[in-house]
Amino acid sequence: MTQAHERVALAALDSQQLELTQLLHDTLSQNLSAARLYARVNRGALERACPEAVASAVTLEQVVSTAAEELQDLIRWLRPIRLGDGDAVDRLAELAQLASRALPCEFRGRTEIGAALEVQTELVRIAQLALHGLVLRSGAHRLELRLDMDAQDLIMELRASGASAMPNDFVERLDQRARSLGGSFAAEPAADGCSAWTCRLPRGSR
Amino acid sequence: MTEAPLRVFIVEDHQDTLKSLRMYLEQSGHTVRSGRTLAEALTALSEYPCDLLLSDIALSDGTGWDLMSELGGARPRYAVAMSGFGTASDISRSKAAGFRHHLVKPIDPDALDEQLARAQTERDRA
Repeated sequence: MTQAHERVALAALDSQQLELTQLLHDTLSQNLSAARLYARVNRGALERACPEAVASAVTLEQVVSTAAEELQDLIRWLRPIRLGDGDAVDRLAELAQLASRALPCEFRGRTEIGAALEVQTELVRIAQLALHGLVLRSGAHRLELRLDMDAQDLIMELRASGASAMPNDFVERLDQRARSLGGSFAAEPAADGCSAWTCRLPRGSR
Repeated sequence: MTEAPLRVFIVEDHQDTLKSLRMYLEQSGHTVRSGRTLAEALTALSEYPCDLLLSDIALSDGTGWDLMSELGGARPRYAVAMSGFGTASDISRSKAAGFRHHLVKPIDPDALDEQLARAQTERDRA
């Protein structure tokens, strides 16, 4: 498959995922959000009318709140991010912040990058998929996301302390995305109890 | 019952979200009116001076940001945006449109209470 064909296939995949996450937001997430408020209303009514039932109302509210927040986080992880010009760095910082809801995650590096919008968008998408995979499956206790660039490439490094090796298909899927723009995503040799992955993408015309 | 109930206007096109918000606010003694579209909100708000506007961002005929723009000088004293999306750019767009706060769905009742208290303070100060 040529790079152009790969780009078309990945765009179709992202478009399908955007539709799916929009549907999840408009249906399940909206209803859980409403259920959370209903649960609080119910608790308020029971506090006045039936205090002995309040404990179970509080538990119900907590369960619904957790489900609503977990679903919203999942949507944030899965929804492909559309970039405006020059906000890739902000989006990467937000992804690190989202990961921090599960385990400490630090974002370091450049505050500005010069690269084609398509390249920046793909870099953010790769970071989104990689961080979600690491949060979900690596068992890491700390993550670090570093952003740099040289004359040719944007360079993103992910480091995970205490992580177990990620499945080959995880790395392969992200490498396929990077290759579609002439870049790479590969695991680095583990050192100091850290696993690391580096993504390089040619910066393209800006 | 709240000491100083607010007149609240809600713009929300999701039926259960609207109903649950209404029940929650009325349980605390606030007076609530609502609209489900940008057009309904514009018509109703021209006749209903509210203390607090709670508006969803994604509406069927526009956005909560459009609503604020079209209200212009007739904007309520205190307005809060509600959205499932809360990136830095969403939040700064809400602030630029004149919303005082951007609540991310699922709405946390405690965060909503904080906005109600702020709206009451603003109303009492005026």
